[in-house]
Amino acid sequence: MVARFLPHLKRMPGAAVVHVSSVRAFAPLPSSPIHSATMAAINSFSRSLRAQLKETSVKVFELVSPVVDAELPHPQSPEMARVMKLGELVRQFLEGIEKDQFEIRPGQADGPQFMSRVATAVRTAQDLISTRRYAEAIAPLSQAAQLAPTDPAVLYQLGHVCLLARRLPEAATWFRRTIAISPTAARAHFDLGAVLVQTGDEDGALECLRCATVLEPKHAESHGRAGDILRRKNALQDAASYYERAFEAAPGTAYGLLCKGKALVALERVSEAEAYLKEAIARAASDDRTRVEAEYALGDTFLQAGRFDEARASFERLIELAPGDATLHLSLVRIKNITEEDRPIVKRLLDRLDAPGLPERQRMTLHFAAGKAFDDLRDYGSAIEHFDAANRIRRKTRSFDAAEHARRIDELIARFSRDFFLENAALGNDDETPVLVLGMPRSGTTLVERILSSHPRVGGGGERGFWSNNAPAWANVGTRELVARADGLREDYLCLLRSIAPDALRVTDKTTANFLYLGLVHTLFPKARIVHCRRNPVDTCLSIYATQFGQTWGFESDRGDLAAYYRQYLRLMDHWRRVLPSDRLLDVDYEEAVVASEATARRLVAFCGLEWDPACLHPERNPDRIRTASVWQARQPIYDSSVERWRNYEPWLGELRELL
Amino acid sequence: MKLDGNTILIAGGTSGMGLELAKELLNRNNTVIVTGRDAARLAQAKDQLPQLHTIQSDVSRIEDVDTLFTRVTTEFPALNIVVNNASVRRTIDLQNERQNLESSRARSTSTSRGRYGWLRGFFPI
Repeated sequence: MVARFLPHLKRMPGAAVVHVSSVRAFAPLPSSPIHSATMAAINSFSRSLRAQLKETSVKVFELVSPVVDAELPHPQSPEMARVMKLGELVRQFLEGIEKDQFEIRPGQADGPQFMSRVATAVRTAQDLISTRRYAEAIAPLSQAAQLAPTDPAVLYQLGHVCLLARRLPEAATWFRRTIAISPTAARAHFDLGAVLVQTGDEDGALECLRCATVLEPKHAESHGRAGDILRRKNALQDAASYYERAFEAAPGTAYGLLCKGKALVALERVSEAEAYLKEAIARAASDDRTRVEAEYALGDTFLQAGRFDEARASFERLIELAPGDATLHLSLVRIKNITEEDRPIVKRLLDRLDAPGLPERQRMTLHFAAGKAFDDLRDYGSAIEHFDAANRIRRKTRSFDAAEHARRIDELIARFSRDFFLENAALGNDDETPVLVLGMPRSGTTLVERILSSHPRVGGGGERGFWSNNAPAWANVGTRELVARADGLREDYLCLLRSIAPDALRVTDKTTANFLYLGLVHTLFPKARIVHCRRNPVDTCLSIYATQFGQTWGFESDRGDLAAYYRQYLRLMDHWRRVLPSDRLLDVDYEEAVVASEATARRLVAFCGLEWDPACLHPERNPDRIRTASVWQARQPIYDSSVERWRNYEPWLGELRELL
Repeated sequence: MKLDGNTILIAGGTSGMGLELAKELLNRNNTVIVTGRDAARLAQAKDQLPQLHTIQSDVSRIEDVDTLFTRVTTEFPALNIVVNNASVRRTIDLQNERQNLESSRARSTSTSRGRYGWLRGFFPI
């Protein structure tokens, strides 16, 4: 084109050729190689042309744009605000032409200098990263990202260093920006997943990790982390297949072996897992996170199998490897009765609490651990101080509306009347497999389930959460919808129970909050048995208050909320007692169960319509795994030290006193 | 150089930077002609800036450049500035064989166009 127009232009006084190029001339964007090369060519060509036309009246200008429109992820995105506005850019170009500035590079497009400034900033950052000074590396990388706002490699590095410095929201922003420019950047998806896990968005994280596994199937950790999330969601089968793929991606590595171990644990093949986990520990370097994880998984398998001495040794090794992990301290104090000899353990805990810059969740966990230790040591004043401190932190993430909760209980009571069950009798079948063990948390449900499932004809289902997942609308399920869903729900539930214990006559489900769903359960399974665990209300509430759970209900961190929730629970249970057949609902008092254990065990077995079996006298010998906060207590011979514990805390009961 | 009273051709001026340049240059009392491949976008630019002259032309095709040259120098003999802003950006994976085949084919056909032809395969200088 220049060649064609040049002869004409040469005849004109004050003529010019103007080329538009971009900063890509100096800093190529790898995903657009031809475009970047073209920009470099325009720059080169313009310089030659300028030299050749030096003696003529034709001036050669080059307008070097700092960023190319098409590279921007979204024209309306906040990123645009960082890039120079088009109008401003053109104004600067024209000003440059008027001043006979031949290569005009407004803003960031400073040619070779620009490139070297980016490179220098990145190098400075990398030096800081290599000495683990992550927070300091953010500034130079931010500078690089400002110079090259569309370079995915720079943006990714900035995100990564923010992640290492635990500046999570910023890290997420930079990873999202990287992905917007380079959607196939597998590691950006992976790291964004890691950030989202830490900010509590597990669904978002799972999505990111799945993307990463598709984009880079050989990256074992993408599969493994996706498995971790699925395991936390209790989707054990899916978790196992992700773990298995992680192992296949890196079979000879410590991480691969760890994942194989986790796969086996998820599939309940705990004894096979042990060898893989030990091998993973042996192969991992001492400062490797994999070693910590493998040791943790191993400790957990010991714990659940009731091998407490080995578990304790495992946790002690772990605390040495990762002294900052508060969960370890809590696990350790939970699996033993702390005595005067254990003062060093308590001191270590308190020292950790004094560490500066401790994240809140860690602090909460340590307070729970310290509270447990002081309770064992009978120093109740110190114990309650720590429990209060822990709950002040836990309260920040709770949401409990006592009035709204009471309204829902009203609805349930109004809907599930005796007449309702008569009218909908056709929806039920007469399967007797389900035994629901329910009540408040910490009311002895684990003990009751262990007694029952020690019976050879009973399977222990643990906390399955089936009804809370499938009856979310509480009382509001329309009758028509209920009719439509009844067959499916019955089938799914039985299928779940039978998968736990295919040959058992009865299978327990000890999801404590199932008392909220008894209307639906009794409609679908009128022959299902319900064991209601009762315990002194203040002991129950104090125990909830003092325990860190894997789940949240919302009411657990405040004495007033606990009292309110407890009263509604009593009201609803009174209702069920009025409307359900008396041979389907059994109240078991924790206090009685622990002092007269044989009588209770016999009553439970008879209630379930089974023949007596002496194995039910020794639930602590039951080899099933336990996944709840009661893991240690449940392995001890039945004990009564938890009766009337509230007396120790009498001065600090607050609103809980109303429940006495 | 002065930026008023010129006659300026902007190749690739129907959107983005090219259009913005056209607008600013019209504001400064220049005669501005823009080219573009897409008739609809040319019309749109003309709606936005009524004083603008528009010509449909694909400057990556040498035949179009000839026609363009004849037309512009006939209708606007005072033409003294040519701005070349025409470019296309594609995402290309250099490890993807099919894409490489296409780009090398594009290159070899344009080589036959003459001395600077191979360059024209990438962009219309």
